[in-house]
Amino acid sequence: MAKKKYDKYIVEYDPKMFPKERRPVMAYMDNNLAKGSNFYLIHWILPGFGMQKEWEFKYAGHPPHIHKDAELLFHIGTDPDNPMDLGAEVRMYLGPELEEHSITRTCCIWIPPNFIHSPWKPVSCHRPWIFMEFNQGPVHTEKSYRQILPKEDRARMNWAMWPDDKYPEI
Amino acid sequence: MAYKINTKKCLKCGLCVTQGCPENAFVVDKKVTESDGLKLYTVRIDENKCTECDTCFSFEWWCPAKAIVKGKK
Repeated sequence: MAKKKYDKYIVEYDPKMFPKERRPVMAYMDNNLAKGSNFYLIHWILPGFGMQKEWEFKYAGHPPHIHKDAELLFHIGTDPDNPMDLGAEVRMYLGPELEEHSITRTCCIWIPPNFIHSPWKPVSCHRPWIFMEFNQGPVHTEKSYRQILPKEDRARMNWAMWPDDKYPEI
Repeated sequence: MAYKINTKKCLKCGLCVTQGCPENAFVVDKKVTESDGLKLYTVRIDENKCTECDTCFSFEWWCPAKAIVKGKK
């Protein structure tokens, strides 16, 4: 098919970009892929994800962290007869106090800049659902706050998986 | 009024040092690297530099631990 003038604006996610990604990614976009775009990551959560043996402790999952820009975490259920039911439960911890929340409904979690959030940990899933991470900044940033975790949980994590991203060392 | 860091709330993340204080009043006194690679910073606010401009209170989570307090000199 002949190339069209605006083909460049239709961007398909290339799974080869992230060979270590554990989840089926549907779309990814940031300022590096399209000048002027913010950071977006959209992927499925399938039954079984997050319930692996190495996540069998309270604060497993994506560890506590902040971003430079505000973040929106959309949790979208896929039951057409009951779209507000997530079909899953996610345990989410908010603030430096690790305040525990159980997410079972379609919702968006608003994360202000510098607000400590996570662990984010799926604890059950009986229907695939869609997770969308939108950052109100051009690229992904992340700074770890693992110092708020209990020592025993912190010792079980593989910290090479969770490096700081775009925060200068002092 | 003097601005101080509540050492009980401070998480020693060092973010305040890089957040753009106009007077560079946040000073690192000590840096420690923990066994898992996490770097922790003991930070204080230099009273001689701080002009109490309120930049460090400019939004709710400027300090992720809300450890900066306004107190008496």
